[in-house]
Amino acid sequence: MKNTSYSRIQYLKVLKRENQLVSFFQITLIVVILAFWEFAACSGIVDPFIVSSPIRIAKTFFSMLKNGLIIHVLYTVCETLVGFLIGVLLGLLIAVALWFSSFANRVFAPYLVVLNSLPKIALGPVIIVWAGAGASAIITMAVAISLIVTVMELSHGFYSTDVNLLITVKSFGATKWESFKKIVMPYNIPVFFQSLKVNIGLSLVGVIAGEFLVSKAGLGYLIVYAGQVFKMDLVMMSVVLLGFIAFIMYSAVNYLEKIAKKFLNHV
Amino acid sequence: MCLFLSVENIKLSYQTPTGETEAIKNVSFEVEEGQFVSIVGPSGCGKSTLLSCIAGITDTTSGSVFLNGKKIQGINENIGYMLQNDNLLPWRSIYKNVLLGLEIQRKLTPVNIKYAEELLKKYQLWEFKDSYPSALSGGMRQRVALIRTLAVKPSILLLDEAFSALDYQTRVNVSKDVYEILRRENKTMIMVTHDIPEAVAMSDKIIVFSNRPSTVKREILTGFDTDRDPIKIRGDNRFQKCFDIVWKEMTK
Repeated sequence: MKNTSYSRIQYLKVLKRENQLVSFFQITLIVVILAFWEFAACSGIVDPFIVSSPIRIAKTFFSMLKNGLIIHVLYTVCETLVGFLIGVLLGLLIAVALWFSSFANRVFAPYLVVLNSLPKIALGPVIIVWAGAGASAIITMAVAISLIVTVMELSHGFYSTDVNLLITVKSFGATKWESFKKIVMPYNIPVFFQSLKVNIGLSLVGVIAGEFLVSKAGLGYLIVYAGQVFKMDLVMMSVVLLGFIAFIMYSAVNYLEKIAKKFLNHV
Repeated sequence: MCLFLSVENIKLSYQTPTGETEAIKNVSFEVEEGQFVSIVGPSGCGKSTLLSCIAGITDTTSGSVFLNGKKIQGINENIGYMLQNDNLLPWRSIYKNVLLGLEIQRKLTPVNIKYAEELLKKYQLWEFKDSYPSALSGGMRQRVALIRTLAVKPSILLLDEAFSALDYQTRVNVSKDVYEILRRENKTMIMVTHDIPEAVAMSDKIIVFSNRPSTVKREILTGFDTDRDPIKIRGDNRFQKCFDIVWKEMTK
């Protein structure tokens, strides 16, 4: 630090100050929104029975903790994770197969586009009949929503790999598998993690949609049940909890990306 | 010197749904062992395509390439190929980049690793062995790419516009480095370039290609000593004469 120049110190100071300001405004924003919400509900500007309020949500949360909230959260998280893993693994396998066979890629391309545009929720009744009315239907819904996006994103990434890098390894006599292992896979690590980040959100969407249709537990079930009996505090609490779960899962993928990048540096 | 590589009646036509494009009409030439040969010609005349055919990356429509009298097909371990960009893998350290070819060819023996390490030491890159390509200058990266190619011990090197991504000053310096390294390692070189002074400075023989579909217009021997300095030679009268001959042939 002895040799740090004055302009460097100034730059670091400004950078630190700016970071602090960003954090300050992020926290202030949520505090102001919550405070206004609470004030509006207490003063009668809005009906707390319809829009709930932060304190009512907190009270509901603590009372629900004693009444099996954890079970509902675990159901949703487990179903999301299983759906996410199946979606990612299956998507990865299909994308790899499509890279190895450009013929298959051409055959399946229009089907992927159609399947991607199709609102998968429309498949709900079909999925319930085929997979049964339980967790398996919910997981299938999560996979249906996340799979095609994974295949399309990864496949596009694989086919966009720098051709010159592929020619370089080919000139050394690399087989297609070696080209994949040495070039295509490490080249697409950022694409893979980008798809994971999209996927974790989509899996959650699939699970909640599945739970809306058929479930006996889970946050989606809680939302539908509470909505039907007009317990808006419970609906809002479940939505807030879902936000937290989505944030934690996204952060976990981000963390995994950092570890993987370090680990895969020497592929 | 003895006959080393012989290109015989190479023809290549590209087939596309909209038609057929004749890239190489009929190309034949010979390269002696240890000889440095440059191929020059108008843009898009098929020089790089020909090099890709010799490397075994692109299939020819007809004709053959012989190395030491033996017909070669597909990728050949005796032939090293370098492209315009250094194509170093950004996620690998310099050391791991240099070992890439050996890994693919399953030749990662202690002797070969030692040879690659010696090359890194000899050409002042050892201290950067744990760095990543992004930390190196363009010229250094190109030297690493050359060492990666040399590590698998090819007897002949194909350079496809290997210096054209570099700025002029670096380009002249790197071409000198590459010239000296290849001479010292007793390699044979075929280089495609659009830079006539570079071709004249680095080559024993210059092959001038015609417009597409390409044919060999003329072969010109430069007649310089093999231990020349490819930068200093540019001030020589013989260099100017040779440049004029190549220029006239290209613009004819």
